[in-house]
Amino acid sequence: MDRSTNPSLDRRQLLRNGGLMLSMGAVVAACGSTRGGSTDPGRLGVADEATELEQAPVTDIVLLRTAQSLEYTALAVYDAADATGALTSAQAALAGRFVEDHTGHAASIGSLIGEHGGAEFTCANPFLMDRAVAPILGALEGSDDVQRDLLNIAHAFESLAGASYQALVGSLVDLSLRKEMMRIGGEEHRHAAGLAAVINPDSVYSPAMFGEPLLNDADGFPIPYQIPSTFGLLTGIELVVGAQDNEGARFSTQLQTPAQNSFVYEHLKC
Amino acid sequence: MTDSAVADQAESDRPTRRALFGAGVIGAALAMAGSRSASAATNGLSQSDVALVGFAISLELAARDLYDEAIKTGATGQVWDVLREHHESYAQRLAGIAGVPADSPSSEVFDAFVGGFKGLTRSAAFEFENIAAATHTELLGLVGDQDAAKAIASIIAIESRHATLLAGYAGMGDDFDALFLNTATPLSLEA
Repeated sequence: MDRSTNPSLDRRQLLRNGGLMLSMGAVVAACGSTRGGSTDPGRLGVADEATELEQAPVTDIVLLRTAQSLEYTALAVYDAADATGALTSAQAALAGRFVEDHTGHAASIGSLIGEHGGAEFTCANPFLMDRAVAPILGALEGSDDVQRDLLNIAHAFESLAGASYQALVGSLVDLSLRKEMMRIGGEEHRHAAGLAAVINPDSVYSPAMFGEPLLNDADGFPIPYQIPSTFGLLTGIELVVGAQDNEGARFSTQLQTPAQNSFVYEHLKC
Repeated sequence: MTDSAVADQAESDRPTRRALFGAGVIGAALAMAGSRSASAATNGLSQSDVALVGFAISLELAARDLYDEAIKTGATGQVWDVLREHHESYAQRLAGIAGVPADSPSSEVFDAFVGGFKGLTRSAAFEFENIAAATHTELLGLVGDQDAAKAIASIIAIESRHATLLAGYAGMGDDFDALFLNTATPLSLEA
């Protein structure tokens, strides 16, 4: 090997340079304690300066507006289901009842928002619409069974609504609001139970309640149960929709109860 | 689902809420829970919360005993066993949160409903689940402790589903109001 052309360092050189680096590090560290200037992270490129997000506290009004947006989200889902024309008359009647209930819930929550000095949010939850509803409805295109998918979608969103009201109870400050939230939440759970009976009339109780594994059906769809657990759960709600792709997979997502990214803050407008 | 069909009995066998209200059952339960809280470790809950949670526990234990009574009388369907276990679990969960024992079922609640449960009437169980859910919902407006409130909310979620299930079993499967709406009056929280 020709050492004269080899760029690698010999041991002596390495130790010497390592010592130099340590020394420079000590100098920089010593200067660091008194140096001024921006403490922002370094930036590459010429992009605009980042916009500061508005500081938005999570108040009872925000939680109520979020609940109201969930009702409008459910209404948007049922609108889309109705537009497909894929439901039987009995299923459409059931959906019609749920639309009435969600409309009533939205109005009740709107009254509560007004009583607490807030502004209503009379449209669907923007985050949920963008991140969940739009892709879910998109997955209906080319579905091998639109009716099956619509029932599963309705069940998932009713379950989400029920779980969301339950979750809100832990965050609301005004105790009287908790009561109203779970009055509505109980009705959403009833909707979910009714839909579970339509989708899966053969088994009522989730096997998970008896320590058995919770399996999807032979086609990969989660199986809904009228009684899914001993206590109301706040875990993600799995939804599978649409036809299989070339690899045998279907569109799948998890619906989550509202959190910081899906709250309808007071500065947000429809 | 393996529930065997059990015919509902006459309307006259069904318990009436009037009997419960007349007995001032909740006030008695509150008094009982309140007196217990004075000497029990209560996990930091206020005395008022312990009394309210104590009442919820006594309601759930009475529910367990009502389903037991139906089973003893000959009810064989899975629904009776599962709902019995659920109500016992609810009592135990709340007792754990409040730091009080789950050992005092409400005899007033039990007495008011036992006729319907002995008659294996699913409409009685349906009515009871609605009242239980409505009563817990009322408690949510009164209980200050967050953990207790969260537990009560999780109970309401499933008791609401119990009611929908039982409405179907009781022959009300086409009645959307029975299935999806809880019009029950909560048990009175005043003495």
